[in-house]
Amino acid sequence: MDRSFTREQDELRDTVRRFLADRSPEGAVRHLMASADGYDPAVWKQLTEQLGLTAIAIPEQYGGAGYSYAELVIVFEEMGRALLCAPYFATVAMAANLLLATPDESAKRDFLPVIANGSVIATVALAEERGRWGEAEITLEATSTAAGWRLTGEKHYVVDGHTADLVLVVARAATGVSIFAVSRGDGGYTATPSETLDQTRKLARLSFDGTPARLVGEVGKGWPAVRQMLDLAAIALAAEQVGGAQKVLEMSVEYAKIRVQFGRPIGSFQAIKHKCADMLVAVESAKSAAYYAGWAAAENSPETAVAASLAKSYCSEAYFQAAAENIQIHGGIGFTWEHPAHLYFKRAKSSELLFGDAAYHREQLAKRIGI
Amino acid sequence: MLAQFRREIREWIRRTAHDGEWERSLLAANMICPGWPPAHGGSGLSPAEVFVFEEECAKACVPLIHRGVGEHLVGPAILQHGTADQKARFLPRIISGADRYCRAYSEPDHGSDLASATTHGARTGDDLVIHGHKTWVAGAAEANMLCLLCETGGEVCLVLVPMTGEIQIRPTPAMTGSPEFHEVFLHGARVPRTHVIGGVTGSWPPAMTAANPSGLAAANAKFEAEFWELVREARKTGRADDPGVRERLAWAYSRIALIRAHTMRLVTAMSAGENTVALQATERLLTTEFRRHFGEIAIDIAGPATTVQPDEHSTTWQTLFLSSRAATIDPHTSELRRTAIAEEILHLPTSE
Repeated sequence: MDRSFTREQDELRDTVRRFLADRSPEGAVRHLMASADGYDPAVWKQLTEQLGLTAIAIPEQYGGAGYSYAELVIVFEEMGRALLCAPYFATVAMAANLLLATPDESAKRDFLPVIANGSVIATVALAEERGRWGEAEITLEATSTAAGWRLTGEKHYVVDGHTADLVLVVARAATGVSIFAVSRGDGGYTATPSETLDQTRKLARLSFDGTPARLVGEVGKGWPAVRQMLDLAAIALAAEQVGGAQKVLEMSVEYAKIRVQFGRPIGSFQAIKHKCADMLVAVESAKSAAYYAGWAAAENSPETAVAASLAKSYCSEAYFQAAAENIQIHGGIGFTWEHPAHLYFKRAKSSELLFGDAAYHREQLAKRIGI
Repeated sequence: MLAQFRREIREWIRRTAHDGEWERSLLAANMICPGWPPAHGGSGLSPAEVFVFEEECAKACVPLIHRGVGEHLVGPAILQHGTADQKARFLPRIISGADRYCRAYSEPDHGSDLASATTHGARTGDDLVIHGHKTWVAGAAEANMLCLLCETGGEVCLVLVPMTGEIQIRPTPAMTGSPEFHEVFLHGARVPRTHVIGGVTGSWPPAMTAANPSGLAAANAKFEAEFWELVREARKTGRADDPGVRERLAWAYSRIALIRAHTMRLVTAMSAGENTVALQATERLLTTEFRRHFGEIAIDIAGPATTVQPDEHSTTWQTLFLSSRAATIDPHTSELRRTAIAEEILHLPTSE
């Protein structure tokens, strides 16, 4: 209920920000976004082993550090600010959250410690060709055979799906939606990287054809855990959006002070001032929404689902608005490949569309408050 | 800690609200102007505690006794800039309700540009004799005291003026049809110079004292009550299932929840003594623009019934629609707020 950051949390933010300034500057982002795997194994090793960032919100009994979602929100915010190219979001916001939400103790004991120590990159394969996020959209077929479960079908928009060691697949068994685990090491499925609008976040298409898989949780009862994962991942995404929006606001204000046209800094024109003021309102409000959702999740509050939809809808629009205005304020240079404005603009749009856009989340919110 | 305060205050409200003497109980417990220091009749609650107290009053459906301009403007200005004598003289009368203030800042030619006030206070011995004309004064008919901006030989100052015979008021009917504002005419109103807050020279800062963050939770609770009333209206007219209507309702609710989260963050930061200039400025713009937008949503959803006046109920949405236009004008226009954010918070150059 005390909605402020502790000194320890402020220190975490400083540590992560310094690390990312050093290891994920614009040059590194541009190099990695053009690479096939989309991340730097050396940075991943440091981030997981040295800083322990994959362990943060995993309980100690599963090899984690036992902190809460409030700390994770800080980490995601900083990663969004730096456009970090790494499978952190897929591993932590998606796979770890899904595992934590299932009642499957054995799967948790097998997978969470290796996620926490950084030795396994993981993701969740959820959406299909239609690119929608509801339970009814799941058609990938799971069949029970004498030799165990087999998966057949396709998954799309799988975040870091081509580099993940462990993929949690949301499939439909005869009795309903269920969660399965497949390992890249075991083969049995193909992962095809997609050409992405936002090159800083890799997506893949996964094809399964009678692929052996391990059931996680109870058959036919997987959706509530997926639902919970989607809420928590939406909060993580909202935090990333806040970080990116804050960064583009700073870029715009800085440029408006130094760029001179018609004999005066463009920031002295009221049209530019009001754009910047609107960006600040959007950024500060977005922070309030994301932090509120993070605190609700940390307390496992009944408000979490509504807060998640609030944060995802507001932060999506705030980030896109800020990233778009950032290009406008920069003028011609903001439209070039050379300038980083487009990297944020594309991340803003891709994260807005991931897990449902603002309108989708407002509809979720309407349902959740009973209208 | 705040959670514990919430539990305690909820229990206190539950026990106290029963005895039918709510206002007297609040006075006895120093819970009117509860954010003021105990030495001056308050309870010294932090902004976050005031917020929680107001929220719990709303949840318990007991009226929040708020002293308006006296509580959020005059009191804080006196507490910050006043003399010991002024504190002793003026503050208890605000708390008791004996003095009810209205704010008289704007003038016919100076709506937002307050530094250009021409209402003149002539120094005559120990007194100021004031002549002038103020506009857009809300609550003047109910008030017995003016919180007035006037100039005294080049200096703009803040002065507290009893509304006696030398002061006349005239209603300015607003677009709602109601006299929501008054003009105030001062024909030689005489006040001792001890009524000037911060001294006769250089009391511009007292007039700009950051308004206390009181009433924020009460305002949010009111937003939410209006929202659910609108949902009932939409169900009554069968429009609640229209996807376009649902989207607008969901948008409105998400803004109310956002404003609550933002306000909580603001009052928590204030309580911790952090710099909250950016949070305060963004809260004002967010809230006032939402208010206006909600007025538009409400009349659209309530539909044609709001365009005629067959009963008292159908006029509510019409009134909200009309009165909410003032939200982005009074006391500061949204445009001024944006310019202030750009210049004072983002430090963009001031020259035009």
